[in-house]
Amino acid sequence: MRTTLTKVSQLSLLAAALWAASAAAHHGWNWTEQQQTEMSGEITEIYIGPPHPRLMINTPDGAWQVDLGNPRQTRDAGFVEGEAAVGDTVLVRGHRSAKTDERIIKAVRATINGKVYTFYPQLLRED
Amino acid sequence: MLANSLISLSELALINLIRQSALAYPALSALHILGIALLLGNILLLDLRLLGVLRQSALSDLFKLFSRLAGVGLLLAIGSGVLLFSVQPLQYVSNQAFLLKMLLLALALLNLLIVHLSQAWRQACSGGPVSNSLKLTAASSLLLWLTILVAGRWIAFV
Repeated sequence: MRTTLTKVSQLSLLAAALWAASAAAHHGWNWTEQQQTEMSGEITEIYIGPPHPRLMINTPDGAWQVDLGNPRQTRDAGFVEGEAAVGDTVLVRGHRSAKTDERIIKAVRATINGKVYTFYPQLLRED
Repeated sequence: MLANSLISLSELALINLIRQSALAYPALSALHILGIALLLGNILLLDLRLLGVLRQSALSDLFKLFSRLAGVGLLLAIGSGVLLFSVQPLQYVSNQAFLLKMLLLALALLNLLIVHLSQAWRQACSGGPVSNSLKLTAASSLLLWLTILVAGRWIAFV
């Protein structure tokens, strides 16, 4: 009985460790590069809604996914349905995934048609 | 074909409402968690008692209650889960953690079906001894539901 219980708790620990190790993408910033990068591309897809608003863009460097703020931050930044359309050019400033094979950038700010949407004003760094 | 039906699903009026509302999605998430709490809370007690890890004999009188409450939790989790899925189905069907979760869920439901059709389960519910086959299905149930929990949480991190 004791050993079964020990095995169960070992399994749960393993599961928790796996979960913690995997918790490295999308939520928070610990999965991204430290420095901010700018990239420009043509919007191919727009998703505004939970759990996470995002854009898909086509850049000279290939396709990238742009994670915006959470739904509320995105709305507060002024980026709502109708603000942009597929085909528009966007200039993104944000943090790229630290994994070079993962083509995701988490936007701090996006500029579309001359309009600036700042999702994380406190994180914005000017060069 | 599949992609088209998934797109139509995400365009239903109800789903658009969930996507646009500030409250609906977090509320559905909370319902999903409530379902999981009911399901896992009862399943853990039931399976650990069947396995003999928990030894309180009073728990044996509650097998049917555990099973029914877990069933309520399962229905709640599935109902809320389908709605959460519909908000952006194409994203989920290309998410490996989600696909793994669905595979494990199918196995867990199969396991559940095997248990409920078995003589061994009826016997245990009416105060009889717990057979080895029932212990085996209790162990797989425990393992499956816990890995489903982990795979589910993983969806947001791949």
